[in-house]
Order: sequence, then C-alpha cells, then structure tokens
Amino acid sequence: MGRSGKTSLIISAAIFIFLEIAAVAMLSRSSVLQDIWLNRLSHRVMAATWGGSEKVRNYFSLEKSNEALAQQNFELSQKVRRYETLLSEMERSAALDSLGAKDVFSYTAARIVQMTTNSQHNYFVIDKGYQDGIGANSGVITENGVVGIIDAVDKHFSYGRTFMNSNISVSARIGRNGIVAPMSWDGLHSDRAKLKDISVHLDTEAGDTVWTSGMSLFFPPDIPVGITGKSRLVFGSTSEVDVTLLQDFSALKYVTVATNRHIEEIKELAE
Amino acid sequence: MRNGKFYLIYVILLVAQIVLSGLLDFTQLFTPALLPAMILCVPLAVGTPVTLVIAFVSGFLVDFFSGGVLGLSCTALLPAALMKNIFLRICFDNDTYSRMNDLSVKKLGLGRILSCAFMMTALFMVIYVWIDGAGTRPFLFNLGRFLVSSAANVLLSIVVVDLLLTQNERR
Repeated sequence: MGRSGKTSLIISAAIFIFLEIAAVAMLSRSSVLQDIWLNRLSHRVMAATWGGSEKVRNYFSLEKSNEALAQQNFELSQKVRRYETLLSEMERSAALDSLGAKDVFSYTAARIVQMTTNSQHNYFVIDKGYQDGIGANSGVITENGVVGIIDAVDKHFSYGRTFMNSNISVSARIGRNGIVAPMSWDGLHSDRAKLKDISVHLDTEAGDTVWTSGMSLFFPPDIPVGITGKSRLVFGSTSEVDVTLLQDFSALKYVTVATNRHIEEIKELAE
Repeated sequence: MRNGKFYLIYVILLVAQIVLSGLLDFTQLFTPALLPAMILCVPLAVGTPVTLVIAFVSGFLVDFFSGGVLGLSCTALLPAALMKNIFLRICFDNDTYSRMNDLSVKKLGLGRILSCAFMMTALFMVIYVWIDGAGTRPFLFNLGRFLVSSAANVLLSIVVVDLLLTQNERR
C-alpha cells in the first residue's frame, strides 16, 4: 500500500468515525428506546473495557504481588513460630504455676543450646542468663521431670550439670504422700535412675509415680519424674528402687528454670 | 452527462426508498432496503470519503422523510459503504479489482455484482435489525427479519443494479 493509499485510508476512517458518531447521536436523540439501549450498551462496553484493562494490569503486576506475598508469608511464618514458642513456654509456666509453688519459685522459660548425654559428667547450656533473672543454684525442670542444676551464669547464657551426673541427687517421693528418698542417675542409661537409702522396713511397689518432694532448695514439689520399678537390698541395711524417668533427655529442647526466691535466706539460716 | 443521468436515477431510487419505507408496513419481517445496492453502484472514481458522505446524506433523507427513527439508516449504511471496496475485493480477483475503473454488468457479470450487493445488504440489515430491535425483540424474530429482508432485498438489488448500471451503460 502506497503513501497516498494510507492517507486515503486514514481520511476514510476519520470521515467514517465522524459520520457514524453523528448518526448515533441523531439516533439517540430521536428515539427514547434507542437512547436507553445505547446507554446500556455503552455502559456494558465501558465495564468490559475497564474490566479488561484491570485484568491486564493485574496480570503484569502479578510478579510484584507474588514477591510481596512471599515476603508477607515469611513474616507471618516467623510470627507463628514466635507465638508457638511463646505459647509452649506459657503452657509450661502455667503447668508449673498450678503446682502451687509459685510463691517460692519464679520461673523462666529457656531453650537448650548445648547438651551432652554420653559421659559420666553431662552438662547443658541454656539461652538465658543473669540478664533474664537466672542465678546459680537454680533448678532446671520440665513438666516431665528434673533436668539439672545451674552452676554458672553469664549475661545471656547459663551453664549447668544435668541430672545425668553421678554427683547430683534429687529429693524425691514415691506417691503423693509416700517415702521420701534421694534419687540419682544410675550411671548407665539416659532414662533410668535409682532411689537410694530407703529403710528396709518400708515397702515399695513397682509402678508408683515418683514426684519431687519439695524438700530441696532447687526444685519445686510435686513434679512427676518417673515410675518405680524393682527394689533390692543394698549391703543388708538399706534398699534401693529402680526408677524409669519420664523425661527423655535425648529429645530435650525447651526447659523451665525454677529459681528459689528465698535460697540465700535459707542458706544463711542453715549456716 | 452519464454521471448526471446516474445521479438523477439515484435520486429517483432514493424517493422510491422513502416511499417504500413510509408505506410498506404490512409486515415487520420485511424492511425494504435499496440503499446498500445504490451505494454499491456509486462510481468508484468518487472515492470512499465521498461515498461515505453520500451514504450518510441518503440515509438521513430516507429516515427524515419516511418518518422513521432518525439516524437508523445512516448508522447501518455507513459501515456498508466503508466495506464496499473490501467486498469488491472478495467478489473479484485482485487483477480484476486493480483494473476496475467502474462497475459494469457487461464486463464483470451480474452474478458477481449481485453477490457483492448481497454482502452489503446483509451487513446493512444486521446492523439495522440489531439497532431497530434495541434489545427488546427476541433473537429468533430478529434472525427471521434479517433472513427475509436480506433475501427480498437482493431481488430489489437486481432492479437497482439494472437501473443504475445496465441502463446507464446502454445510453
């Protein structure tokens, strides 16, 4: 198509559009029926045009939307994780509060960052320090038992010995109102302990729950720690009872630090 | 002189269209339409822009004097006038179209010219029936009106082509 052909085409198109608009204007002014119909038609065309352009715009902004959604998703996931952690900590604290020891002990939720289970002197490190109100000689517990005792405290971290230590002993009670005896790790298994120094005239039964006795500066009373097993006579003077611990040390992640508010006062009195 | 006679016949046919549109109202299914065939017969030398103006004025006069909806025939006739050259290209091969100075029944044959007139009439009727119905008439009625009118108007187109092209050629 030559240049004159294109010019002629443009002129023809312009004249056509002009005359067609004039004709439609005449049509709409001369008849009410056609006027209403044309209005409705123009509204439909406008709606379709706007809807179409909106769809095109939306399509081209999908990448940006996806990025924003991914970022939002990431932030929401972080929030959910934080809330889940907070919730589990609150549940643990609430469980411990219900034990009725909240007047003597204060509780702080913590996360274990390092822990050993394969030696005779096992230790752990938690992510809370003196800045969080943790002090030395605080007990570390879970809703399933005793974990250990804090020995050293830094600003943000604390170091302690786990119950899986030959030189740690916890005061425990068989049943709610039963025999009180010191309980210590058996030195072999991560889920076994022994109740020692039980007088031979006291009978014990296998299957009883073992609780913390509360006669300790480090641990609040009535935390279930294990189930009794077989008992045996030791040197003919005392007996000892096997205990299967409720807490699995190999799967330990979150703990609660129980700090005795009156520990210094009690120590001074004892001295 | 030949053009003068052509336009005289064109005006007579225009009056005939006005009379037919104003008087022929025995059925709603048939709408007489001589205008598309008349526009087809407008000499090619006139060019599309002027043909469009002729179509607009013709449609306006028919609507005005026949007492119809003003602008209805104009609106339907203008697209047909615009498409005239395209329909001619469809009906005749490129070689014939490029050598075509004017429409001639003797040179091009009545059949092809009538098929072109049918296309223009059909386009005119589609738009005319659609706008005239304004969404108030059922589709089947509109379809029937389109088919009946298109078929009948092709027969009328023979008369129009005969008057505007054949009679003019003889003189």
